[in-house]
Order: sequence, then structure tokens, then C-alpha cells
Amino acid sequence: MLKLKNIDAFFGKTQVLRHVTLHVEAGEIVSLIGANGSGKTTLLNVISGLHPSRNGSRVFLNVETRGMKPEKIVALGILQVPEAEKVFNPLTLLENLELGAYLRRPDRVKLAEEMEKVFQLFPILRERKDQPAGTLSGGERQMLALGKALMGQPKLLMLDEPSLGLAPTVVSEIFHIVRSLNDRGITILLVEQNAKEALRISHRTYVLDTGRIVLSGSGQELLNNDEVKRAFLGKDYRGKWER
Amino acid sequence: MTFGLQLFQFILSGLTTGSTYALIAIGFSLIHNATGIVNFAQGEFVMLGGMFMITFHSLLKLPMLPSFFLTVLSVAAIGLLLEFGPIRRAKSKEILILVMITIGASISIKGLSMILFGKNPMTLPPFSGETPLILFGAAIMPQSIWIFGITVSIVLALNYFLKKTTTGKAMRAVAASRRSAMLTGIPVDRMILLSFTFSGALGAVAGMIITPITTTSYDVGAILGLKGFSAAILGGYGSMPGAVIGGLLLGVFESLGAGLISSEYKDAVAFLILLTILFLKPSGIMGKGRLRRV
Repeated sequence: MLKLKNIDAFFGKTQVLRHVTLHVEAGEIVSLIGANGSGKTTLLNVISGLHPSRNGSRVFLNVETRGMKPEKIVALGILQVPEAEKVFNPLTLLENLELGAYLRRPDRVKLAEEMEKVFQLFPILRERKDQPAGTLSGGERQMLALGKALMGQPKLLMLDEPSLGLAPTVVSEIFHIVRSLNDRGITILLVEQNAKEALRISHRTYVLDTGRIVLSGSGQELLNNDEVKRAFLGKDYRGKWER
Repeated sequence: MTFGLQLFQFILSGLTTGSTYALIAIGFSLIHNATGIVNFAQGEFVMLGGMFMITFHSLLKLPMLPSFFLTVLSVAAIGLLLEFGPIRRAKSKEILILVMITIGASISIKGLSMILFGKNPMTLPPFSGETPLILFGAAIMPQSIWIFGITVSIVLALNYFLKKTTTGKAMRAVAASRRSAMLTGIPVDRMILLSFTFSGALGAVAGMIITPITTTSYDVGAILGLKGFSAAILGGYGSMPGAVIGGLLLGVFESLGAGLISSEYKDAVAFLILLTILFLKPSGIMGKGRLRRV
């Protein structure tokens, strides 16, 4: 579905992505883990067309997306829920959801139907539908961000640290939702700092280190990989690094 | 005339000029919200509004209404070209560079206008006669009523557009978060183009309605732009209700300053207010003050 080949990206003269090659197949949950500053968010922004890439190719559903404007990439079906600025704070929930469908411009009846589906998935949002999004709690905001992205009818949904800063119960709820979205046929590319949870729910995982893909494999394989345990699963595996 | 009546008269005339400042301030806010820049050519849009109206109506003898709409279209087109040309094609998108481009545009427009329209002050006939109406003993020029009426209609129409239409909501979304707007599929470039076009149109209207009262010449842009800018700061830069409140208040203060102290200090009043606001409450009357995440 998505094939990245030899992607390089720079911030000024600093190279932040080095020959990144990865693929995501339809129906998968693929996660991307790595330390802070390893280039995970930049990689998502490259895919979304917010950050320019040099060299290599970015093919989505047999279409080369290099040089495309972000709105064209959204129109192809790639939607990103970023870690910061996920929703439009001064706008109401309903307005946020309506704009989620901006490119398709469904008529009033269709729009109401689609919003109803989002409300069924996230009942809490219905109670707050006329509030500005900025008044929501972190968990609710994440749900609204997911709902807004769903209004765009994504084929590939990219989530940047969806669990960041949320209470543990909310985190498990969010992961549960991610899984159920995947069951409905949405392909998911997940960037997570919560490596354990990410490895558990994803079919495959890539490990990014200073802009390079250093490891990849199924979630189970990586959960048992000593390097991953040492680097990401830290304190639960004290024995591994205090040898 | 009693002092109370005099005060009432000053306030009325202040609200008249204040309405124009409000329109200019809204123009500043629209562009600021879409791009984060201050458009220093905003005042030139106002000057062009007056000049084009004079050209269409007084020189080419077109009727009032077609001239009005032709002027709006022409200046809106100039706003559009400013964005589509130099702003969009600038190699660096840094705020300071873009602001410099608007200053350059302002100087160019002023220079070209001097060549095209000459250096003499010009004026327009009032839209409907000069017989003042008497309201509670104060005299109101019919032009003032036009100014109020047109300003109120524009503010209401713009409010409807921003709150009720999908494109308007998308414009507010771009103001809220450009990044998030891009990721939602909103064509941010087109929204920016639209904000420049609207600002041009607003400037045109402001210029046309105020010219019968104040006259115009090629060099009024800078001072009108600064008045609108002060009004926007006073109300809270970027806020639409703030722009309206700031504009009206500035107009009233100015008129009171001119009437009670001396008309020589009319412009000084605006800048005194600008400085006071910057010292005391830089976020303005309707400004929220930026929330920072710790």
C-alpha cells in the first residue's frame, strides 16, 4: 500500500532521515518506535507532504507522492493525527468534524450520517458537540482528532504518539479503538513512545535510530529482541542491561 | 450648544471614522490570522478604494452602484495579486521577509498612484446629498449613515461567512493551526489568497465610504493603515470583534481628542492609545494572551 524507498530528509544541513526504506501493506498495523529525536515525527511529516524529502521514492497505492501538496496526499487517503495541534481549538467539535470531511464536501444529510458514526464510536463527543475543542480533556481531544481523521475516510491512518500524556485507562481505551479501526479495514501506521503497547498491537514494527531503520520484524520477534528490550522496554528488563 | 450635546456630536463623528478604522482593522486581522504577517499595504488598499471610485464615478461618469462594485473588484484583485505574486513566490517564508515585501508593495502602490492620479487631493460627492439629519439635537451627515450601514452589513456578512460556511470555517481553522489545517486537507494556500482578496475588498470599501468626508490623495494610505493597525492592536490583534470594538473606540477617542483638546493632535491621540495599550495590555481588549504549555 505504502512503499518508501531510500528516503533522505534534512533540517537545514542536518540530515534527520537516512535512506529510510519501509512498506505498509493494506490491513496492517505497523508501528514505528525509536528514541526522542530519532526522526519518527519527521518521517510521518514526509509521508504527509509537510516536510520535503530528498532522493528515493514515496509510493502510495501505485502513485508517486513526492512533491505533492499535503491536501493532495490527504485526498489520496493518507491522514495523519499529529502529536501536537491535533484539533482546531477555537472551533466547536461539530465544526472540527465537518472540516474533517472538507475535501469530500458531503451534503448535509450525508455529513450528519457520518458524524453519527463518529459519535457512536466516541459517545463522549456527542455530549460536548457545541463546545470549542480547546475545552476538551487530553483523552477527549485525542478522540476528536481520531473522529476528525475518520471524517476524511482514511485508507492509511498515521497516528503520532496517540497515548502521550494520557492517563493509563485512557491509553488502553485509545489502543482498543485503534485496534477496532483496524478491524474495520483501516491500515494503521503508529508512532509510539509506549513501545511495549505498540509492539503488542502491531503486526510489524520498525525501529528508528538517529534517522535510520535499524531493526524490523513482527511485534513478537522484537518483544524478544535483547536490543529492543534494553533500549525501549527499560526498567522492566533490568537484568538485560545490568549484566 | 450645551457641553453634553457637543460631546454627543463628537461621539457620533468619532463612530463614523471609527467604522472605517474597524474595516481596515478587520483587513489586518484576516491576513494576520491566515499568515501571521502584518500587511503594511493595507492602508494603500484604502487609498486605492477612494482613487478608483473617483476614477470610475467622477471621471468615467459611471453610475454610483457599478462604480462601487468595480472598485471593490479592482482592489480585491490587487490584494489577490499581491499574494499570488510576490508573497507566494518569495524564496524565504520568514515572517520578517514577508512583512518587508508588503512594505515594498506599499511604497510601489503609493508611487504608482502618484504618477497615475497626481498629487492633488481629490474628493467624492457624498452618496446621498449633504443635508444633515438632526438626531436629538446633533447633526448627522447622510454619509455617516451610509458609513454605519455599510460597515454593519459587512461585519454581519463576514461573521456569517466565517461562522456558517465551510470555506469560512476552513479559514478559521487555518488561523487556529496551519499545520493541522494542512493535515486535514484544507488548501492553505487558497485560504491565504482568499484572505488577501478579502482584505483588498474591505480596504476598497473603507476608502470609498470615507473619501466624501475626509478627501483623499495618493499619500493617505500610510496614516490610514496606521490608524487601522492601532485599532487592531487596541481591540486585540487577530480578533474580529476586537477589530470592530478597537476601530470604534479609536474613532471616538480621536474625535474627543480633536474636539476637546485640539484637532492638531488628532493623529497623536491614536498613537498615544497605541503606546498605552502596548505598555499596559499588549494583547488588547479582546485578546486572550497566548496560553503556553509548560
